[in-house]
Amino acid sequence: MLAIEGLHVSVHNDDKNDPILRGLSLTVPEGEVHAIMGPNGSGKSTLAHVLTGREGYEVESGSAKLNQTDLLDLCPEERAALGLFLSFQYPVEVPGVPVMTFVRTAMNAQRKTWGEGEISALDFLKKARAIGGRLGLSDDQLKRAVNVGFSGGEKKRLEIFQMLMLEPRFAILDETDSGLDIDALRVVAEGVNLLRNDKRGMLVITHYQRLLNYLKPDRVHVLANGKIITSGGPDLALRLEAEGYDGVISEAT
Amino acid sequence: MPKETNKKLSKIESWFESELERLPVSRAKDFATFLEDGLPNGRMEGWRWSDFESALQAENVDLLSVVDPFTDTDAIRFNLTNFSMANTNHERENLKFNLVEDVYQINGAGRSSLIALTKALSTTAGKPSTLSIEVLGHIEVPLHLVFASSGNRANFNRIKISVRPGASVKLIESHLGGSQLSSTILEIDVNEGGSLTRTVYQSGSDQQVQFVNADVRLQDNSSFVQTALAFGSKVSRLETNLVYQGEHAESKIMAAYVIGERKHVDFTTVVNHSARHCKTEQLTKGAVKNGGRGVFQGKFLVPKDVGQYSDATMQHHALLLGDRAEVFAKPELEIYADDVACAHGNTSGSLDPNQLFYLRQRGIPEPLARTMMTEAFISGTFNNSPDTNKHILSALVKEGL
Repeated sequence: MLAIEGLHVSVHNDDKNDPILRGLSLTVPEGEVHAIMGPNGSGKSTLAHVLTGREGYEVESGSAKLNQTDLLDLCPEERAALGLFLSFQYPVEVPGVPVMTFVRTAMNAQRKTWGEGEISALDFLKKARAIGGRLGLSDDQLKRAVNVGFSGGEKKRLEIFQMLMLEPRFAILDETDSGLDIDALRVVAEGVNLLRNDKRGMLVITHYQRLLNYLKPDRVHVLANGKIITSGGPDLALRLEAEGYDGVISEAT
Repeated sequence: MPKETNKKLSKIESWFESELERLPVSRAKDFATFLEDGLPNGRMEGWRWSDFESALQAENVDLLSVVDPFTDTDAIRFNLTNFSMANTNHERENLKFNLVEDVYQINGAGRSSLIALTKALSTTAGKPSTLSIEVLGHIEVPLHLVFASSGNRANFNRIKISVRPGASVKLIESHLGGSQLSSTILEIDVNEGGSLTRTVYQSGSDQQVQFVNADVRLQDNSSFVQTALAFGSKVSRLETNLVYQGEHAESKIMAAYVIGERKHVDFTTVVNHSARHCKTEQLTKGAVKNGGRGVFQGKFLVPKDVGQYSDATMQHHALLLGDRAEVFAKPELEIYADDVACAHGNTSGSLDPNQLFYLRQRGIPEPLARTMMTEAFISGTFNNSPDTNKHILSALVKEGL
């Protein structure tokens, strides 16, 4: 379960602190998929970054716990080893590091933290081929350097590939649908759905309702001005699509 | 300059007192040239960042060499420190080698006094000598030159390699230190249609000083490919002076450096495009840790008329791995011909924080993430080296980080 309580976060800009999150509270129980929607600049990506431990944000108060463990004191790799995964809005190119090497190193580093031995080369290869095949990533692409020369859609597929390989306990998908055509969106959503089970939680950050057609979230939250202003079932996403953020936000505030 | 007026020179000279009396006339002349200029120091053009004079002032330094990573048993190996014709029995097809007193006079004018010093004092078993190697045809196994002194205060070597027309050879050099001052000069001639692939490894302790100079002359349609990996020492300089003497010749000059605390590496190259239609590709990449210092000096000279239709690129990229890491770079293009393609690029910076976060978010611990990124940054420089060498060099980088 992901539990966020009264989270206040700011960024340091030109000698002053700009508040981004202003008392955000949110709970995603085990096995549930929650969506966060909201206008540009509402703090959606900041939330993803703060939860995963990116530098450059000042947590002023509040807490964030994954399965009772406080996340905010941990470094990014420790959070990852707890099972927290972020599908990046803008996946990063890592020249010179092949995808397979990258994912295997990550997987073995996590396993080491859990006190497990390394995955065998053969098991890893089998798993990578199976998952790659499902997502339409060729062996050749998996040998290339991480995200280098990948199209926008391929990068997002590669994020989901990593997620399926690492089998995180909790996944945050930050605008995974942006830059995807209809077919790619379906492939990516099917990939995400493969991971759904009664233990694994997910937080899906998106601008648009269309991804949610495939992912079918349990709850939808609207983030505006740094906090959740209203929450509801899947219908809320449809309403947002129909009425726009302005209507829903003014009604809620 | 009279020697008694300069105490520093007297000190270096005193190391060689016993040898000086026995020097043949031509070598005594070289030694005199060295005395005139003195050791290279920060006041000299081209040596601003690599001060050999002050680096050699220390007393009682360690005299241990590092381990040689190239252990291929098939290689034709020359151990230059204990070299003698008697204990080096390499009957090989297409290979001739010999010890001679002096070959070719390198033009000393305007050159480093270290070259003069090395010319004066290169010896084998106490006798003035130059190792002369002739490559008569294709040689499949690598020629491996090992420079590992032990216990000598100074160690000088001079090697002359001549690749006959159409012949080819792969050369490996291990510069492993072991003296307070190790200095090696190589003259490499690649004749028409010949090729030489040179792989150079350098490493030494933070008390030792090393100098390696290669003068390379390329004739028509010949090729020269160089891949160097240096870890530095107290002060180290790897210098390559390449001259195109024939048309349609090509060279690739690749180098990587990984520099730790109290270590210094200087890669200096001068490429003279004095023949038409020649092509140079130069790429140097390095990573410097806190307390380390990297120097890159590259110069392309393209004279009028004879330099026409040259195609040359020079790239130097450095990663600074800490606040106290230093890199100095001086890329120079001096072009007098008007129909040429010449380009250069030079960057230095730190690891990309976005990349670092991406790796860490996947669970890769920060130190490992940094190593992976640095390794990846450097690895591209080894692509032109033969596969077995490439693996050895990559492993050395990994270890060195």
